[in-house]
Amino acid sequence: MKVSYYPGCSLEGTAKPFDKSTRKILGALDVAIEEIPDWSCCGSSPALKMDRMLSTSLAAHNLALAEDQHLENLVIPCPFCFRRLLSAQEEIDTDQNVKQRVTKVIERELSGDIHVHNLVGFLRYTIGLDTIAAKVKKPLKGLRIVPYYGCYLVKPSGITHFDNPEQPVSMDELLEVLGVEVMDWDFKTECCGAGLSVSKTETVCELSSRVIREAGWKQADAIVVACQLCQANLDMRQDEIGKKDGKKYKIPVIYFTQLLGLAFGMPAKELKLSHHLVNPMPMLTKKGFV
Amino acid sequence: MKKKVGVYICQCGTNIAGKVDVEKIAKELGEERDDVTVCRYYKYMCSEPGQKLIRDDIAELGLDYVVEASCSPKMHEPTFRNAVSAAGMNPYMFEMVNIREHCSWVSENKEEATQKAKDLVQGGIKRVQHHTPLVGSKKPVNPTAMVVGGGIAGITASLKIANAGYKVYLVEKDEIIGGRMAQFDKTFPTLDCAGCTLTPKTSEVGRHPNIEILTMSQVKEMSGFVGNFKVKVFQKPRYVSLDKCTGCGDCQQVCPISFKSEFELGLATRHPISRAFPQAIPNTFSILRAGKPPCEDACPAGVNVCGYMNLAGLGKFDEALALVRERMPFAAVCGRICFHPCETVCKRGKIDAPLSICYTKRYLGDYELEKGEFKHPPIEKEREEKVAIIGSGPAGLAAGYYLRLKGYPVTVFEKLPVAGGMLAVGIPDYRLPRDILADEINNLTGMGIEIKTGVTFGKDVTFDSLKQEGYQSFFIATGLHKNTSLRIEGEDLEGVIPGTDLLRKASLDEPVGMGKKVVIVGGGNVAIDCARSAWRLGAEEVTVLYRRTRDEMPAWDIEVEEAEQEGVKFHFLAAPVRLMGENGKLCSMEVINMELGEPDASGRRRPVPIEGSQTIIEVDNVIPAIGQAPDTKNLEEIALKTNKWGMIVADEHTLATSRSGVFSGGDCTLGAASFVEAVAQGRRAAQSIHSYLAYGGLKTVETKETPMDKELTEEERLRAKPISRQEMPRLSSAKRKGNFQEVDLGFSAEMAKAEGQRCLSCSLCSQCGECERNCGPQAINLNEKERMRELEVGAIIVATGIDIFDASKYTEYGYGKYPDVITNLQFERLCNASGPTGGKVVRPSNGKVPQSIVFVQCVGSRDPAKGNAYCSKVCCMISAKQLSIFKHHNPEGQAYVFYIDNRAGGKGYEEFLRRTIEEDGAQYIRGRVAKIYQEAGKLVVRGENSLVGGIVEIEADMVVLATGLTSQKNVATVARALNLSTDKDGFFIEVHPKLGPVETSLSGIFLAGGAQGPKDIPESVAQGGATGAEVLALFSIGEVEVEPTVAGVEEKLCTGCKTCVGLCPYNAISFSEESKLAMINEALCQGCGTCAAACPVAAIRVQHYTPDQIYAQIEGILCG
Repeated sequence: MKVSYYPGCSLEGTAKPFDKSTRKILGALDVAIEEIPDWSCCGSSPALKMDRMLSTSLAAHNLALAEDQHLENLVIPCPFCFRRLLSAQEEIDTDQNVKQRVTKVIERELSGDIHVHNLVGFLRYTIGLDTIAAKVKKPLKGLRIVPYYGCYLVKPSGITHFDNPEQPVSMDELLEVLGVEVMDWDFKTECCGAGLSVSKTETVCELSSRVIREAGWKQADAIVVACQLCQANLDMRQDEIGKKDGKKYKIPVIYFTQLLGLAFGMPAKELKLSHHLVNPMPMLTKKGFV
Repeated sequence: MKKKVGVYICQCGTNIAGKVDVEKIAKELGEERDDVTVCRYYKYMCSEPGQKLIRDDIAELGLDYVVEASCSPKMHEPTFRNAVSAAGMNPYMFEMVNIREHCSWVSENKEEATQKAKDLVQGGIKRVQHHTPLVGSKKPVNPTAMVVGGGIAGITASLKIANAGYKVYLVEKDEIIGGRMAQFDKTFPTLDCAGCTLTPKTSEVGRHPNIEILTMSQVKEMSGFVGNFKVKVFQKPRYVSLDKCTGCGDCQQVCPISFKSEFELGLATRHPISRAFPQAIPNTFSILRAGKPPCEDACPAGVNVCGYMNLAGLGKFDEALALVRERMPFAAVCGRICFHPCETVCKRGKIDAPLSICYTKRYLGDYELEKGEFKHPPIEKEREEKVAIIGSGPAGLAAGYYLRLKGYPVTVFEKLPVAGGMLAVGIPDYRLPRDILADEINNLTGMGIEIKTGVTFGKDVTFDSLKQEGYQSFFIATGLHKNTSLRIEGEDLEGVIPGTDLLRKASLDEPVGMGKKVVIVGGGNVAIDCARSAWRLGAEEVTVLYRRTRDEMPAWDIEVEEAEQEGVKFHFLAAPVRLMGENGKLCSMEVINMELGEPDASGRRRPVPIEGSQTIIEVDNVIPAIGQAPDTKNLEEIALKTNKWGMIVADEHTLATSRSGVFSGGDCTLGAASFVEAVAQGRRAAQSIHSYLAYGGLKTVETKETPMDKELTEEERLRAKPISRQEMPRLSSAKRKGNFQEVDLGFSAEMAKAEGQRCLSCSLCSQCGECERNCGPQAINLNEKERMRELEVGAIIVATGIDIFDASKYTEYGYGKYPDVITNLQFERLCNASGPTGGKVVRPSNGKVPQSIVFVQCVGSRDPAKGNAYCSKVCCMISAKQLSIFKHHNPEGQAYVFYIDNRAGGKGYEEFLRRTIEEDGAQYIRGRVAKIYQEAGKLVVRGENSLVGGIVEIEADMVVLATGLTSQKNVATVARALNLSTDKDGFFIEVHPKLGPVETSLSGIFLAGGAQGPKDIPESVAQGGATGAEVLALFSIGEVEVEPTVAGVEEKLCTGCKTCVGLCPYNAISFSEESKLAMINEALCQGCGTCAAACPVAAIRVQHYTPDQIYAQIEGILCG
């Protein structure tokens, strides 16, 4: 299977481990990826906040480039890029006005028939649990984690059509196939503070602290995420939160793709597992996974 | 003479006059039209002065017709019909024109509305002149009522009617009456105990001589009309006699099954035999059974699998075996060779693996054989009539067993030197050891059954000779012992051994002449038996040749796998062409390869030979095993009717043959069937022979229990005990060569017990019989059958009540996930003194008293996105009441309520609600709850405070969701049965929201209580009383007028095509075979006109809606 791939700007910068591990596991699953040639910004903030038409046009421009690849599926790991491209596709499809204006801006008409997938949904439903289970070489038995989807990937359900917007399970299922013990908790879709990290650090600390605190209370070995902003916020703020609570939090925040890679038998280095602020390597070593 | 028409137009206050210039129309019509004698208008035509106008004109002007233009005929047609008939006019000489709902209310433009109204009235004027006087007929009213639903509304209605001296059938779907109110603790706003107000009523109903309570019953079908309904009611058995049960409760102590109680809303468990609470009416225990479980349903012999598995789970092996024997006399044999369709359908298989039913049954049989004492039910009484059974296979032996239990002297005649039929000479020893079979047959001879082996019927003894010896009935069960021929060249060569011959010889230890290279032809179980037997008899290379693939093979997988383990080879998609020999002795065969073509009649793809693919292989033996045929040579004497395959023809239900007193069953009638099917037929034959000998006829077929839903439910999944399927210990394949030792070694007692405990008891009651055996007053009868009762009643009251909204639809509220998040009805049970906690309000998670409770309003109400758009009306008051009770229990506790609006409309309601705020200190927070979650192990409710404009988070020990009221889950069944319509939310529709709140569009059927919409207790009681009054009014008049507006058939035109017969929704049309015409029952006809519209030759006319009337109306509307 060959799919079109849109990494987005984060995955080229701070979220390199996400990009790297995604490419690795897709390769292992015999999914060839063809990056959208000359892709540009997806239209997420600040364009989305300042000029809706600009934002939609940017997304449409990338969709147009993807359509030129003549592939059926477009896979996007970043939840923000995913939602932006998917929203734009829907908007253009349902609103003739928007369609006309966008067509004028990007100087071409979209066919709108490329399937836009987020990575979790693509792996869970298009690839399927059986195929993934067949690739597991080193089951991660004994790893107790809490799954954290964040809000952007799953909501609003009218656009993302994610399995269940309140209690999503598709990433849980992917991890269970690896032998991971996925703990149930009510913080799967709580907000981490997302893009307010710089402008309203206080808020981010407050929101992230609840997630970290609950994960700590549950004695999770790690928080497993599918979003680079969640990863950054939860990974970065642990010292500050710890100071407030009079505790030392050292909970690794790992991309689910990295765990897939580990279970597929890939070396930790290739998955860039040591590139996080809270280094998961000591925990993974202790458990015998690396 | 010219006919006179009077026209009257109503202004309806401003309802009509606001849009229609009534005065203008009246003037114009009066002046313009010759056919209008008088045209008047008035502000309220329906009022007395209005009606008087009409009456006076009829008297003074001698009007022939009256047209009234006003509101919908639904509203006032009866009013005006009464008015004209009071003045001596036939009421059908009147026509009503709707210029309100059809005109003024739906129009914007005054001029257009006026024109439209005028056109409509002109249609009426034209039409009315074609009206003819009609007279309805009177029918007597059957003064018996049916009340559907035994809640407080239904109880009130029943008592009103019964107290007036009329008979009432109270139909209730549950085991007890009382409905939702029986679950409540206290009622608002007085905090009266619900039980103390309800139970005197229920006990009055229970005692009332005029009320017959039908519990566990549902209405299925209704026909007839007001005053004369026929209702079919499906009644499930209670299994416990209302007269004999003393309510001691001994039965509960011994019942092995328990599951979540619906009455306690899952807060407690119950046994299938139970009583909801000590004061429940009917005041006896009853048994809940979901229907026939899939295992029992799948068993050809109908063995109560669920029952004996549960008994095995208790270690009660004797009782379990006795239960098996009710339908299967040979547990040890059956447990070895049955193809166990029960396991295929076992619901446990949808969780991990099905129960190991067959091997457990084998254990039960072996357990008894090991003990060496055979137990069977006592022989009823010795009888005289001798019965001859021809053939000692499973069918014959089973018939013998059950006939002997009835007391008949039974003789079994067997052609072969051993008894057992194919069990003895068809199934190899390694699957069914000879001694096991012999032991089970010896059990039968021990009962007094005579088995004569080596006696051929038709030769050694004959039908006539046996009749002379005094045999009065015969059961022919001679099986299939002839091998089907391959129909190819060389079949008579030495070394070709028919499959059945091989198995028989091996069983009887006769020499077989087995070579080294053996080919078996066929793909069924016999073919595999032959292959595995040949291997044991010393063959070195055994190959099974099958013309299709493994997927199409009829042999069981386990047999094929075992054969493979033993080294048997399979050659698929190949068939023999000819067999070749030297000096009459087989030495090689020609085989052709096949491919699968189009599916044949059996649905399997037909194998087609591939030309040129022939090969020659060397063989010592070829064993054809492609099927068997009956050997009926010796049966010629009795000349029974046979079909084209030579099978004896027997009645499917009674097994009677073409000859009186002679019955036949098993393979010789069915073709190659299974052991268990043969036993089933043997039992059936015994029943028929008993009916024939004892009553001289054949009994009617027994009603069958309805099978239960085969889908696994979540509740059943939770019932699964964590025990895995027991693996049968097997003889290693190395130890099998050269002998016929049994391969399956058998279960231990522990394994059998473990298997029994794996049962999900999906049928709820398994009918294991434990309660029946332990009931002192012998009140329990597990043989009770469900039945369909047809009741004749004059009026029906539908009071089916409400259901509770399913709170798990709000996933973010964690209902079902967190035990301390409960619904308000569950909270009622917690408060109730006869509830699961004896009236203590405690947290279900840990049994501790909660210090803080958060009530969440409008869960499922006023929320079109997730729940229902409507307000459930009672939840605000319920929460106020519940928090007040909580404060009484725990004065230190704190209650919070998240609400949208507080709706406390009702006498004393608002005052009560204020008290909870002011005196009980409840904190009311206006806003919706976003999420209920667990943080650090504690429940937190996060919601919005819309008055302050912010988010609130409250830690709670318990959360009570004020779940809304919904229509009953099975409302569609009731609606369909009674021909009633429901609104989009599933509530029954009343005839008029203001003026007919308890009537339906069907005359004689009334609505009371929550079935019509959410209601509190006083409203339900009021409606119950109102319906009682409606019914009593009907009964006191004693007769109903049947409207003359019914359909009639023009006999000259009817072609007898029957189109109308199937279309009539009231079953009013029948087809007369005599006259070949459609016939309409005027009493049943409702005048809907469906038949008239459908009749291809216009032979059906509906009175008062004739074509000339309708055409005239159209003409009037279009051209004045």
